Amino acid sequence: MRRIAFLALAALVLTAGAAQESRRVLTWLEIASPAAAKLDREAWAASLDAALASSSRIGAVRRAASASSAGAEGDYIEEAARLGFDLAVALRLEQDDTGIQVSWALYDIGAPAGPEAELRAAAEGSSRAEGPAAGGPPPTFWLGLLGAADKLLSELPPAGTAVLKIEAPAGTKIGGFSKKPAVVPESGELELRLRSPSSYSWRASLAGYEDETGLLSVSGREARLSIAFAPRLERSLESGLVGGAFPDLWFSWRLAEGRLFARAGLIQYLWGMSLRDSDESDETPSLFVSFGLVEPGAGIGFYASPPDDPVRFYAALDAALRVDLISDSTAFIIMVDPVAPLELKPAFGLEWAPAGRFSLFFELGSSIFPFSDGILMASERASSGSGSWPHIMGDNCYTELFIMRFGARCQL
Amino acid sequence: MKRRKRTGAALAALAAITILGIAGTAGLASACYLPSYDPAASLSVAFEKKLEKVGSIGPVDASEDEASNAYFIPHRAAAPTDGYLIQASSGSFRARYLYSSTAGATLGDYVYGSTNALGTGAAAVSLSETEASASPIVRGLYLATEWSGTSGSILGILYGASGALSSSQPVSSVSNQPLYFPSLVAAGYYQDSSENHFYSYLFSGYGDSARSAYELRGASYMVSNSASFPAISTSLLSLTYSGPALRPGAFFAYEGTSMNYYLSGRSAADGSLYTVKYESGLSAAPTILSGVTEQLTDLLSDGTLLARGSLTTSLYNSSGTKLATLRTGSLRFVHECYDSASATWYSYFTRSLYEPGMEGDGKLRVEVYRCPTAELESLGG
Repeated sequence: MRRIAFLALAALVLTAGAAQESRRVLTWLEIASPAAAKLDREAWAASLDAALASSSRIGAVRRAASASSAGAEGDYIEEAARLGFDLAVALRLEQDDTGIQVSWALYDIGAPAGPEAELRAAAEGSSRAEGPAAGGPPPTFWLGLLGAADKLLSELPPAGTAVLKIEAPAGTKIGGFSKKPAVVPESGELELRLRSPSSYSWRASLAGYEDETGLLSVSGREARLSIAFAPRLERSLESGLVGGAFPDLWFSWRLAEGRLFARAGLIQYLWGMSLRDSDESDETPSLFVSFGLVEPGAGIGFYASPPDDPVRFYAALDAALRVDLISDSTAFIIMVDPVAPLELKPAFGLEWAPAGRFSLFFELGSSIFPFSDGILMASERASSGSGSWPHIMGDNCYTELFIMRFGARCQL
Repeated sequence: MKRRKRTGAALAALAAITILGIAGTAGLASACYLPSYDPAASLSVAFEKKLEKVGSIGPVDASEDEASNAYFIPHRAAAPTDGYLIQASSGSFRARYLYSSTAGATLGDYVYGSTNALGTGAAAVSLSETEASASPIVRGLYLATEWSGTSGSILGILYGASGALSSSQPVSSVSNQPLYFPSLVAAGYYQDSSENHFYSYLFSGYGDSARSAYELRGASYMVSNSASFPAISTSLLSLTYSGPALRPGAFFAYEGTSMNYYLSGRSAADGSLYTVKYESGLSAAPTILSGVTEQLTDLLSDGTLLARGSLTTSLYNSSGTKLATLRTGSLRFVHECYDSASATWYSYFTRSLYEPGMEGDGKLRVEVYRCPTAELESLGG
C-alpha cells in the first residue's frame, strides 16, 4: 500500500513537473485540542514542508510568522497576500483516543475576496493518522492535500500577472497600461493583463467628457477599475486686454467636441491703461485713457488640435458693433457709430492650459472696418492720439494691423 | 512613450515662455494702441446726412504741422473749389491757400503771423467773387494779429491771383492812444441781407485819466458788397462797460440791420461767461443775455447767434433764448453765402480730414457742406 502511494506521489510530482511556473506557498499549522499539545509540532510542519517542496509547481515554502504566535486565524492570509504568496495552506490538528484528525484548507491568495471581503478556501479536506505518532507523518500522508494543491496551482494564471477588468463607456480611450491606448468595446468592459504587483498611472478620455486620471495599484491576480466621466465643461469665461490696454469680457461655448468654439462678449474702451511716453504736447500723460466706445460682438473659432492638448493653436473671427457713448453739453447720446458701424476681427491665437480649468491665451489679429470712409477713420485715429498705427486704407474700408490681445480663460 | 511625454513637456514649456514673452512684449509695444474713434467725427457724419455736400478738395500732401488743428474756409461761392486753411492758436495765425485744379489739389502760398492776440477766437472770412474782383484780387480778411508795443494790426487782407497769396499788414493799425497797454480781445463778423460786411473788434486797456479802470474801446466797419476794400479808420469808439476783464478771444459783432452789438467772452479772473447785448449803440448800458450758456462765435444774416462748441453748435435768438442745438461734431460753421438764383441764404460747414503718415507726412482732405440758413433751426436734435 505504501508503495502504491509512493508511486502516486511520484506520478504527481512528475506530472506537475511539466509546468514551468514556480509558486510560493505559505503554511500555517494549528494545534486545535489540548490533547494534541503533545504532538511534535515541528515534525508535522517539517513533514508538510517537505511534501509541498517536492512538487515541481512549488518553488518556495515558508511558514507563516503568525504560526509561531497566537495570531488569529486569517492573519496568515493577510501575510501571504502582503508577501506575494500564491497559496496559503492551513493545517489543523486534533487528537483523540484513536488517532489524529488532520484538517486542511487551501487559499488562493490572488483570488478576489467575497462579498464580505473574506477570502474563502479554494479547497478543503481532511485525513486521519492512526495512533499517536512520535514524529511527523510520512510524505504519503499528504497525498490528498498535494493533489488538491497541484490542481489549484495548475489553474492559476501565469505568475507575476494580473487581469484588470475595466468598466467604462464604449469608446473610452485608456492610456497608461500599455504602449498604445486601449479602447473600450461596445460591451463596456475591457480586460487587460498587467504585471503584478505594480502601480499604474492612467488617463482615460471620451469625446464630450472631461478626461479622467488616476493611480492604480495591482497586487493580486485580478483587479477592477470602473471609470465614470463628468460631462465636459462646454462654457468658459475669458477676459483679455485689447492692445494690452483695454479689458474685455467674453463667454465662449465649445462645439464639435471642442474643436470649434463660439463666443460673445463686450470690448470696452471706457477704461484702459496707457503707457505712452511723454511728449511736448502732453508732458505728463495719464496712466489711464477713456473713449466713449463699446463693442458688443460675437465670433467663431477653430482649434487646430484636440481639447486634451495642453497647447493649442486656433484661429478666430469676431464681428462687433461699434456703439458710441457721447456726452455733450445737452444730452447723453448712444448711437451706432456712423463712421464705422461694423468691425471684423480675424486673429490667430495660442492657448496654453497649464492646469485645471484655467488657460492663458495670446492673440494677434487685425481690425477691419468695412463700409467706412478710410481717410475719415485715419483722421479719427489721428484725433484719438494713436498716430500712425500700421493700417491699410481704401475708399470704403479701413484696416488696422497687428493688434494684440492676451488674457486668461476659465471653464465654467 | 517617454519621448512623447518629454516632447509634450518641452512644447508646453516653450508655449508658456512664448505666451508670457509675447504678452509682455505686446503689452509694452501695444500700450500706445488706442482705438480709431473720435466723437466729433461720429457726430459730424450723422449731421452731414442733413446737409448738401457741395465740394471736396484733396487729398493733398500736407505735413502734420500744416494740418494740425486746421480748419477750412472756402471761397464764398456756391460750390467752392478753393479757400484758406486756417490755423489759429494762442501763439500764431496762419492762413494757407488751398485750391483744386485739373492737376489735383494744391496747397499754395500762406501768410503767417507770429503773434495772435485772439488765439482760436481769431476771425477769418473770405469774400465773394464780386468782392474779390478788385485789383489786387482780395481773397479774404482776417482779424487776428497784433504787434506788441505801441501799435498793433487789427485787420489783414488776403489777396492774390489764383494759387498765390499775400497779405497786407497792417491794413489797419492803432496806436496806444487813447488806451494804455491796449490788447485786442474780441472780434466778429456780420453780413447783412444786402451782403454788406461788418467787421468789428474790441481793444482792452486802461483809460487815460484813471489807469486803474479797465476799459474797452472798439470799432465796427461796414464794407459795401460791391466795393473794393477801403481804407479803414483807426479811431476807436468808447463803450459803456462794467463787466469783468475778458480773456482774449471773445466775440464782438455788430448787427447792422438792427444796430445791436453783441459781446460774449469769458472772465479773465474766473472763466465765467459774460454775454451782453448793446441795443442802439454802445453808449447805453448793455443787457445781459443770461440764456446764453456758451460763448457766442458767429452772427448770421437773419440775426441768429451761434455758439460753436467742440461737439455741438447752439443757436440763439437776439434775446439769448436757445433755439436749437446742432450736433455738428467736427463740421464747423464757416460763413453764409447768398444764392441770388434761388434768393436763398446758405450756411456753410466744412470738415478737415487728415491721414497721418509714418514720418510726419500725410494726406489732407477738406469737405464743404451747406444747408439753407432758414432750415438750420430744424436740424437740431
